[in-house]
Amino acid sequence: MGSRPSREKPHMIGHGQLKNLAKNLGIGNPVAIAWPYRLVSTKADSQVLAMILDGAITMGVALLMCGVAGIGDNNADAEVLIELGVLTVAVGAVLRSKVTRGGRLLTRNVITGVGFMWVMFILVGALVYWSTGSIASLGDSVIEATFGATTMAATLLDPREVSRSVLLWRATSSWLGGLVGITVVVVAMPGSSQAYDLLGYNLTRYGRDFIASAEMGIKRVFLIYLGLTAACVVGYLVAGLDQSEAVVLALGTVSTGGFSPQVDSMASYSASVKTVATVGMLIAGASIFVLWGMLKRRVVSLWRSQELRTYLGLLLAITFAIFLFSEAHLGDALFTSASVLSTTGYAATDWTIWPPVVTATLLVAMVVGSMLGSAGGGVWVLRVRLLFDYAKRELGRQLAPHAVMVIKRDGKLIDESVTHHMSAYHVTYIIVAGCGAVALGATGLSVSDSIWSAFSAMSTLGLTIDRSEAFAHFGDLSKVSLIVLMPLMIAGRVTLFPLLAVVDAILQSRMAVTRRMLWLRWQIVRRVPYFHR
Amino acid sequence: MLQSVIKRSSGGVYPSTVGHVTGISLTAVAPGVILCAFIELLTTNKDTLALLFAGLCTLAVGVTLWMGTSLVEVRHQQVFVTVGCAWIATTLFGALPFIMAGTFAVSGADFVEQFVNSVFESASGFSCTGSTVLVDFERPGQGLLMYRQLTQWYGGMGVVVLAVAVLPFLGVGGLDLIAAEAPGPWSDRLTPRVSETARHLWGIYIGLTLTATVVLFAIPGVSLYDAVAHALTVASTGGFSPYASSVGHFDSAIVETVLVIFMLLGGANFSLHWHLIRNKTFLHLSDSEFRSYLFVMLTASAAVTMLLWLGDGHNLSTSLRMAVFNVVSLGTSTGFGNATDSESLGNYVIWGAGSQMVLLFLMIVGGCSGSTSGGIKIIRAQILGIITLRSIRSIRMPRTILPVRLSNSFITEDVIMRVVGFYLIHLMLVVAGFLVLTAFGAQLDTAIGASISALGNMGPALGDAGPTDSYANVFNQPSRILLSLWMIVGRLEIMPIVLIMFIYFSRFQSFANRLRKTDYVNR
Repeated sequence: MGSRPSREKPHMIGHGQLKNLAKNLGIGNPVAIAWPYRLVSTKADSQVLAMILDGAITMGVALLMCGVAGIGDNNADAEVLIELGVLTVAVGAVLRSKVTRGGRLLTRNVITGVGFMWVMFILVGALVYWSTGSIASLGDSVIEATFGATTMAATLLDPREVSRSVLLWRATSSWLGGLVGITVVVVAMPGSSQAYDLLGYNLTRYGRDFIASAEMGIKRVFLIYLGLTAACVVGYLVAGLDQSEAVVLALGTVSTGGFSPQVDSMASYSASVKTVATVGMLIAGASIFVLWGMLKRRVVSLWRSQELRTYLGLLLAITFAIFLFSEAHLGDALFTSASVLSTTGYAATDWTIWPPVVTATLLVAMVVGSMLGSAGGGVWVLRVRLLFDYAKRELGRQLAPHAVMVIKRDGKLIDESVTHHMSAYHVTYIIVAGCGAVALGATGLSVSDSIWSAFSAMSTLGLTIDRSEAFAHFGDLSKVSLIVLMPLMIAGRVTLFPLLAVVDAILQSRMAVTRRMLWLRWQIVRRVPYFHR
Repeated sequence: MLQSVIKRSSGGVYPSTVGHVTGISLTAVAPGVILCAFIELLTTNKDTLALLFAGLCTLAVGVTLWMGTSLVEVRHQQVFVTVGCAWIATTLFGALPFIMAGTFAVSGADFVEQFVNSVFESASGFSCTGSTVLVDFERPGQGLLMYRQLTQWYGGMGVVVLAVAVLPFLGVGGLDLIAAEAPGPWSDRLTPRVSETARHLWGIYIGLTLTATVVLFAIPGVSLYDAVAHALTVASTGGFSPYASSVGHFDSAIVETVLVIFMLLGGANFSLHWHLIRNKTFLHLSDSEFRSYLFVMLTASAAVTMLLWLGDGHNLSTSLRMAVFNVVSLGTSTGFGNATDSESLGNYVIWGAGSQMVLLFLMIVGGCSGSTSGGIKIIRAQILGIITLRSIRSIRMPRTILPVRLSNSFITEDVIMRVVGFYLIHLMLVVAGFLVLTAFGAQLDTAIGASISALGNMGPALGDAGPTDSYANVFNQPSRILLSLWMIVGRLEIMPIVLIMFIYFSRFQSFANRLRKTDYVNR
């Protein structure tokens, strides 16, 4: 054998020594003995694991807080939440101390990490509803947890029946969902240079300031998000709500979750509460860069942001359309358009009785969705603007086939690969939603209902247009439809591509397995004389 | 040489390619109208004079334009204007027989209503859509109904291709003209001469129609009139039938099977047929687009059969028959219906929503490029799918260069951009049509279906506008005008008509100035 240099990493201690020791002592398989020791004493270097565990700790803290806030209302429920919280934090912290996250964040690691984080998020959330007995069956609890994590306005809970801690946890779960949504886009995606460009040209200077480093970016996102929530709570308190209701509504507004402690969403609240909600939803649907710019008091240059102008223009157009075609008040029209454009899903009036053109407009609004870098879903305003530019350029290219045309955004040239990614994203979005709509149709929904619901799930809205009842949301659908909707909801929340990348990875690994099998077969065949001739 | 030809032919007449091609197109349509007048004379003899007069009018205007103008070199922008104008003129003149015969002069219909309905019917025919506003099929005579069939046949291969076929010399723009009219992202040059290519295409087309006629006529119970009428529809994948219940009139599985086969042929690329006949090489199964086309049809048929059989609880043989016929009818953008009445299973509006969604998907995709069908075409769908996969893979492997390959040939980035651009504009028009139709009072599913159906040249839509309904009862006048426009826009694959608007309505001069700087900036 000779003196071959050890391939072990320095911190993965003394494998070789142990092996020798075991050999000298004559104990069976040395590797088997070495393993427990290695497990305890070594650190794994994994960005994915680190992300998942960070998520677990955050979730545990949130659970603890919800549990503590619920003491005095229903102590049994509060206890369950506190216990779960302590357990999650403890397990998360112990494991996290064993994991390092070295080097630059890689996009594929972020994607995998976020995917697993969401799965964990949903499972632990489901455990809360199930173990407190708020929802009897485990399956329904998983669905409810999915609603929460993907910021849907739908719920299977009866908000009047459940205890305060569970109510708070349901609202907090969408808050966390929204937070992870922003963080992924703003902080983690820039790991790939294309996405960096994509974010950079929106409010160029602030974008680059903002995400100068991952840690700084996360901190800023968290602070802004928290500040916004606090402001929203204060707003609701001033508008005359009690503390727990104000907190639940604020969590639902800022995260564009749309969870309400009332059965009729926002219809029974006063006009002042609705006003606070409208403003809150509008801000929640705006990009975090815009809020950052506002904090930096660069209002004038903010107005140069094409995305912001488009967002506000769309809002006005939709409000006007609703006002024109239905008998709604202007306030209700503004509320509804803000709610749907930011993909929150609060309802001030029962808009399922409005004429089809309003429903159609809202369908388009919800697909367009909020601004890039917000907690909302949808295709995002920036992407839609770019798609329009792309289409316009294509028209121009038809007339002048040899002209070199580039797309610029806020004075900055956009890389062709970015536009390619955009269009591919868009195509995928439509294909996934279309497949979802076909499957939904097969579960017994009507044609318009299944199209609407598929897009609603993809853009994290959570409402349906079943005209037989007021404030129809996903909670009213059959369980089979909900099972079809679950992947769509998750795909919409994690902005689609991560999920597909995982699918692609699985497909590729299957191909790799096939190749490996072929290679193995060849190894056997070449060893058997005359077998392969 | 080109210049000398132009000089020689332009002595004394007004030089205009637009007028010239439009004139030839109208002149080509006119004999068909006059032929139908003779059919009318020999059968019901109700609308003979109207047809004859309309035919002569079209002929007069066509010949005047043809002889009064001369060709000039086709420049790039003119291609679209030429094709667009030829089509708009053909559609408007095509409405003449309906107006003169008073086909839509039902009680309470003023002239504007009649005009709109006639133009709708004409647009639906020439664009091979097959949506109808005709309510009373007894009113028009058999000759007029045959004219209605014939409009689709003219539109199927395209009047401009016809014009190119008879033009001796068109300079560089000939293939561009065909490409602007023919479905698909590019146009194959089958022979070195473009006009010869156009002639070959029309030859294949006529051959397909004749074969369909003969096969249909061989079936007992199908008259020669019916055979010709339906052959004209299947070759052009149009969708009109002289009967109110469409193919449901025959209620025969054999007729449906024959029609399915010919619809599939009509929805395939005609250059493949050309290679088969001319070079005796069977390239169909080695063409990835054709294979995908068959795959889509088979999968969709199987899915709909299963949904009807297991989901809705109909028996297997009926489910299979209804599923295959309707899937092929909508997948090839023909739009035949085999419902005997609005309650029968052939009326897919009463199916479960899952099956209807499959049909909606087929309506968007459509048939092959280089065929007579509509939709965004299989090849574009393939390219879109491949670039999506490429984009997904590049997340995990950001530095990999992944070329797009189709049938062992590489697709250039230029073509990809064109395909994506086409898809985006198509989608925007669908959404715009959807919004406008709902604003005029249509229901959601009806509006989505009608917008997609009109742009994809399908015919029947969903909801209230199903295969057994007449558009006249569902959509109001402005909606019908929009749908007529959408049908022509969809038939020409969007670009020509949209570009005409783009040129004339968007301050073209400033746009052109900006183009000259070769730097296209969006502010």
